Amino acid sequence: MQSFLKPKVFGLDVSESSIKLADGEKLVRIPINNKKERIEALRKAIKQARISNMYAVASIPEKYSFIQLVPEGQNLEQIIEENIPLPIDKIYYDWEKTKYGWLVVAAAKTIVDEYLDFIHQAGLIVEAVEPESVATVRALKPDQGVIMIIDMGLRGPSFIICSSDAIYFTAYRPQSEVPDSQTLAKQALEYVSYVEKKFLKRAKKIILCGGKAKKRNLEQEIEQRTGIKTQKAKKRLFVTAIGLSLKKDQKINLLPLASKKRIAKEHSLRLGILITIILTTASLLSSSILNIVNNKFPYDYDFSSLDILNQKIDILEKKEALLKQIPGNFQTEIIANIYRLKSDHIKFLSLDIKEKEIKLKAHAQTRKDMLDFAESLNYFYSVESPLENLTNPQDFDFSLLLKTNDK
Amino acid sequence: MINKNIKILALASFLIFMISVMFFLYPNARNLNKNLNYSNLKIEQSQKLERLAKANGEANNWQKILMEETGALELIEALEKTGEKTSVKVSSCSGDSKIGTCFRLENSGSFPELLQFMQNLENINFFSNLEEASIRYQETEDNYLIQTLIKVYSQDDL
Repeated sequence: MQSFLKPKVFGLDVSESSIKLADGEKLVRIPINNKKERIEALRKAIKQARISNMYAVASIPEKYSFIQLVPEGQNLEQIIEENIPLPIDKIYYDWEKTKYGWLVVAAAKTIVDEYLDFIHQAGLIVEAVEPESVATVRALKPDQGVIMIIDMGLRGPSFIICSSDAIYFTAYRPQSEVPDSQTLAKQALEYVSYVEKKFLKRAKKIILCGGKAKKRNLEQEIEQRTGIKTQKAKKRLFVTAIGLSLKKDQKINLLPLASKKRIAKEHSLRLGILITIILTTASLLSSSILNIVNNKFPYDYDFSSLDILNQKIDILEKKEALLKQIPGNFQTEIIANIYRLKSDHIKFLSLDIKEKEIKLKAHAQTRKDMLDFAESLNYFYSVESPLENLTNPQDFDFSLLLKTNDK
Repeated sequence: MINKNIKILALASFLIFMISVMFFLYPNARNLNKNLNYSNLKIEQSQKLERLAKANGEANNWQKILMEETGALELIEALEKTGEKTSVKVSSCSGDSKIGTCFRLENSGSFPELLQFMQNLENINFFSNLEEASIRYQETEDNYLIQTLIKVYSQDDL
């Protein structure tokens, strides 16, 4: 996932004499005689190294670049204007905050654009451009205080004084022939003294690299003449290209702003793709889960049947409301019970039944018959019997008012 | 220059995502929503039915129908049927309250026959209420005359 978000890059070291390419363990060098040969040489190198990705980190030769360590608080643009004989709008520049101040890097737009143009023509995408020295320091990883790196190229040596977290000084001495150890030592001491005076940092070690550092006992001769411990790099060749291939950040990058925006846009696209893939996976997974859940439900559901049921509920709710409103049925069972309780000596003449009240008129043969009948009705809430009912001993009409309990 | 493959991959992944949403996620989510709605409605209705039955199940009128459901003719026929053995007379009347349709029923017969008639009225399959009953002994006929007022209710009475 990390490699998809941040594509793997290879190092592309383009100099006037060769094109060097480093992609992990694959190292290729194609010599060139002039600029016209560069595109073909680059294509050849890509083919030889069997490069599968198209993202390169390229270097600008030391002689075309400007590097300076500036104390914090100074105006960076002013320093660039003072040290580079080009207007600021004609250069690409970048900076990085270090422990000892700002590391300012710049190069002419024409040079960078020219390099980018031919690299693009070879079908590559440039992720970053930086000076050779920055890549060289990264490749050699100085971890024992301040050191001097002498990169002995075909067209002359480059001197870099650096530590693990800063580049204090760089210089390029164009020379058609390889300088002898005496000249190298003299130049090296000049630069060591300059840095010591300016930054109070003295190089404790010299590391030799580059194709021309192969001379036997060169390191002993330089050590004798400078008094500084000197050794050849373990990997003497392809140092810059390897350093470029190790670039993982965008701290120092001399690419034009448009290209930087393009890189940011591509990174956003990659992130978008990743998010889309995750969302697609989540969507398909959710679909599967939903499908399983849906299968648990019956397929024969019918919303119209629910509507019918709703109508029924509506009717029942209306019935419920009606039940609360109507006074309540008198029960035939009560009348039937009164009828069962009367004896043959009692004859009903009239009954008026309304809600909880029954007015009864009847004929009794004897007073006792009437009293027994009235007594048998005492389960009513109230039984009202007027005094007139008692005035006749036999064969008389009587009336009763029966009331049921309100509950 | 942006890597062409990345552009194609971005477009393809977006399309695949849209397809997965449109043809897989959305239909399944819609079905689930439908299922849930259906289930929720069913549960809701069951709960309503349960509540209504629990509250009113024992009432005499609970299982009976409201008048509009079948029509007035069926009702009158049903009223006539309650006293068919004793030739009942059915007429409409004006009740005290605004709700319910009032009917006056007149019938005659022995007291047990009238009791049966009243029982039939109580059990009529219409949402109704026996409001009043007046029973008189007819000496000439040696039987009883009953006049009852029954109110039958409809959905419009709410």
